[in-house]
Formats: sequence, C-alpha cells, structure tokens
Amino acid sequence: MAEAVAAPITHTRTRLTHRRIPWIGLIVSLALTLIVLTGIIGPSINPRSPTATNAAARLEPPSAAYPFGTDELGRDIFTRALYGLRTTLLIAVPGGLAGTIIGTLLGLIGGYRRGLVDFLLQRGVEIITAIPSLVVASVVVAVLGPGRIQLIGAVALSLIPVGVRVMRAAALRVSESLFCEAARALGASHWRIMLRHVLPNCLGPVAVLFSLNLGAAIFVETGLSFLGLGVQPPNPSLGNMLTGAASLYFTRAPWMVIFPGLIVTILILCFNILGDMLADYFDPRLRSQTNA
Amino acid sequence: MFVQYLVRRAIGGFLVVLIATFVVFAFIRLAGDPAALIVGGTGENITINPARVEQVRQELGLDRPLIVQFFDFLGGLVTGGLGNSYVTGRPIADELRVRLPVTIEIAFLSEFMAWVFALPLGLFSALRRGRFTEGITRVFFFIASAVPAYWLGLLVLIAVLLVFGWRPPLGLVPPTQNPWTHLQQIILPIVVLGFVLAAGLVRFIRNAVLEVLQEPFVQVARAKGLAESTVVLRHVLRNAFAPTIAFSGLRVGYLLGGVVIVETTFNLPGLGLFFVDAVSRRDFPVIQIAVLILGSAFVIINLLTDIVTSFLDPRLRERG
Repeated sequence: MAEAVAAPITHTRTRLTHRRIPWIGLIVSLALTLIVLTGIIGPSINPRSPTATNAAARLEPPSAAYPFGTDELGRDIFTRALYGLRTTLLIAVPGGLAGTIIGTLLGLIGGYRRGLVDFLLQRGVEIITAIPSLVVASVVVAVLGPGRIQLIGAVALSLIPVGVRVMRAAALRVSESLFCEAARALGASHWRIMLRHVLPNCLGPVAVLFSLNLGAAIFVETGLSFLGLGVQPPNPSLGNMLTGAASLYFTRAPWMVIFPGLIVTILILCFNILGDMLADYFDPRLRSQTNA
Repeated sequence: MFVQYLVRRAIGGFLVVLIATFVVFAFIRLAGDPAALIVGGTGENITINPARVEQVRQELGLDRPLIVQFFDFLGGLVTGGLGNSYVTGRPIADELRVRLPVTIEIAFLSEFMAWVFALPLGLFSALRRGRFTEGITRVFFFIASAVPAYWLGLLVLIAVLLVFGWRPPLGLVPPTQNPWTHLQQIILPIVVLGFVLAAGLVRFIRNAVLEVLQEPFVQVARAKGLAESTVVLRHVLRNAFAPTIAFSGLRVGYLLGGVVIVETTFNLPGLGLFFVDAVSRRDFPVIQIAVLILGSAFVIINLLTDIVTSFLDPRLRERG
C-alpha cells in the first residue's frame, strides 16, 4: 500500500522542485555573472596595484578605505582579491573547458566504438583515477613548471577522467537507440553518427558535467596555488593569498584569509548548485553519477 | 570463485599502478632534463653550467636508457632501497617510516569523522522525510562540498582561538611519546577533513536508506509487528551499509587528496607535506615514490572494500 501511494507523491515533489528552480537559479546565475564580471572588469577600473606595498598601513582591519583590510606588507587585500579572482578564472575556466571537451570527446569515442579503443581508454582513465586529482595536477606542474599554460593543462588533465566516465555512460545508452542504427543503415560515417546523432542527445549530461567541472577546476587551481605549486607570489591568486604570510598572521589579521576563501567558496557553491539544477532539469537520475 | 575474482582485481589493480608509475617516470624524463632542473633550480634566467649538468646526470644514472632506469627503480622497491632524495640526499625509506603512519592515521580518522557527521544526518533526513529535512541535507551537502579544506582549516583555527583562546601545539608528536598532545594536534585536522568528506556521504546514506525502505522485506518486518527502531536497526541499516561502505572505499582518491591539503594547512609531517615539498623543489625520486604509494593505497583500499562489502552482503560474492 505504502508503495502505491509513494510513487505519485515523489512525482509531485519533483514537479514542485522544478517550479522552485527559477528563483534559486536566478540568484545563482546573477551571483556568478556578477563575480565573473568583477573578475574581468574589476582590475582595470580599480586604480590600486595588487603588489604595491604601504608600510604605514600594515595589517589594517577592513575599513572604508580598505574594504577587505590590508596584509602584512600593507597591500590592499580587496585589490589583491580582484586580481586573484581574475587569475583564478583565467586558469580555471579554460582548464575546465578543455578538460570537459577532451573528456567528453574521449568518452564519446569510447562509448560509441567500444572494443579495443574503449578498453584502452578505460585503463587510461583508471590510471589517472588511481591518483588524487590534486596530485596528478601537481606532478604536471613539477615537470612543466608553474606557468599559466601549464596550470591550465594540469587542471584539464585532472578533470578528464570524470568526463570520460559520464560521457561514456551516456554515449553507450544513446548509441544503442534506433535512430543511430537508422543512420548507420543509411551509410553515415562513424564521425557523423557520433557528432550529429549521439552527441546532441547527450547534451544534458555534458551541461551538468561542464558546470560541475568549472567548480572542480577552481578547486584544483586554488588548491595548487595554496600548496605553493600554482600561481607564484607576488602575483595574487585566490589560493596563494592563504599561504605564506597569511598562515603566520591569520590569527592577528583574520581578514587576510576570510575574504579570499569566501570568494572561492561562493564560486564553487554557485557552480555546484547550477550543476545540480541542470542535472535535475535534464535527468534526476544523473545526480548520483556526477556527485560520486 | 570470489577469491579468483579478488586475485584478478588485485593483479589488474597493481598493473594499473605499475603503468601509472611508469608514465610518471617517463614523463619526468622525457618532458625535461631532471639534471638540468636540479642544477638550474626553478628560476627562469639562471645560467646552467653544462659540465655540472653532465656530472649530475651521471651521478643519478640519468644517462642510461629509460627502461633500464625503470627496472632499476623497481628493483630498488623490491630490495627496500628506495633511493635518496635529490634535495636532502637522505634515504627516502627513512622519511617514509616516520611519515606514512601520520598520513594513514589522518586518512582513517578523517573518514571516521565523516561517518560521524554523515550517518546521523543522512539517517535522520531519510527517516523523517519531508521538505525541512531535505532542505537541511541539501544545505549541508552544498556547503560541505564547496568549502575548500584549507580555508575551513584556517577558519576553525581562528574560531577556536577567538572563542576558547586555544591553539593546538605546533607540529605533531607521536602518540607513543605524548598521547594527549598528539590528540590536541590531530583533532582539528580530522574534524575539518571529516566535515568536507561528509558531503558526498550524507547524500549517499540518505539515498541508500530511502532505497532500502522501498524493499518489500521492510514492509514485512513492519507488518509482523516489529518496533520501528528494530526495523531500522536490523533491517534497513544492515542493508544500506554494504553500498555505503563500498562508496566510502571508492572515494579514497578524494580522501588522499584532502589529506595532502590538511597536512599542509596544519603543518603535519605526513606523506602529503613530503610530496608538496618534493614538487616545489622538483625532487623527482620522492615524487615517483609518493605517486606509487598513493596509487597502491587506492588499489589496496578498493580491494579491502570489496572484501568487506562481500561479507556484509553475500549476494555480491557471486559476481566473480
């Protein structure tokens, strides 16, 4: 009896959540747009320099002149956070994009072709998955050095396995459908079937993946910079603002760590919520796959 | 049957680790010249003395063919000679003896803390289903999965200092030397990492319990008049446990990445801090060993997870 009643209730609830989405989605999208715009425009309209020191204003608490306070060298943390945000976005967004595209294409090929190609891809993914993503990225940085391009590559590489896994599962399902068989019967080439028939039918998972990957990319970039392996001081990044002097002074000047970390958290939070909502929108069953 | 399955998994797993190690090994040697990096440091405009580079190359055996170097490295693993750090010149094995237990302790205790956070919350929101509990779990999930562990660590240190005027003693003394100090030093890191790790776990527990609640045997248990607590404890929890433990074991890679972060945040001398130092100084032998250990840990814990879940759920033993 309980089960018979349970089914329609779940149904209504999903419907309700669907109707509730717009305003949360609106807030999250607005917040994201605002943060990203601030990161792009902010540094250019702010007259202060992120590296200019001021011995007279060391470790100043937040005030009208210094909204986020100053650090141990008298540098304005608000300005540093602006530049740091831009640096973080300039690495995380291309890295997340590249990681998602490469992962998606590899997963598409693996899920569609199966056989040996798929087998090799799966083992490759296993190799990267066996090592924590932050460690994978660190090894890339260790060998290639901490430049911007290298960091983008490191972030992308650490994201590829998730993309392959998600896309492969979706491509496996879609490539079994009748319209793919029909396309094959009409003599369409493999590439045409993959790009014109399979990929467009997997756009839901790809959109979810992209949003979650952007959050993960910010996580990896700020993590690397926090460990001292990413963006090198004195250039600010949201991650490296929390190391070095900040780790010595944070009890006396908590604003040194509170604000940069808060921006990272809000960014990741927004991308995760967006990803979750997209998952709900396209297919609620996806959620458990992408969050693992 | 099941033993065969496990053996096959074990062999496959170690092959994967072996290949991963080889990839890192080859990557380091093909992407750049470690000898030049050691001599030149990480700066960009340092002039490099070619004679010195050649000398270092010969000292470290980097002039031999790649495959010879790799087998030499593997041979070292078997005989226990893991080589020396490029930077300090000290044997890596000595460092590991001190550092590995620290990392293992942090990893296990953090995952335990994650269960402490996640089990009550996940159970509560599954058993008292409704908008309110669902909201709480969602908020917890999103916050815990968005907060970077290093930031949360610093916030907790600030909060503890402001509220209790207490800060943990620096570094980490072994528990054999002074258990009380050890506890003070380890408690904040494991709580912070546990909180971050609890994010996925809460959701998983909630879904696992909800799924079991739909099973006919739960209805039978209720129908035969068992108390709700008995139904939950004996029937629901037991069946929700196997998949949750499997999930818990599978995300060990995530866990180890987190350990690297908290070891750096709280300055705990474990494998993670060792690895981070090695990367920033390009100490390649240490990087290689660290990757090998992290990869092996992943494989071993996944195997253990398989064994444990098969004991909890005998049906899983039949898949071999």
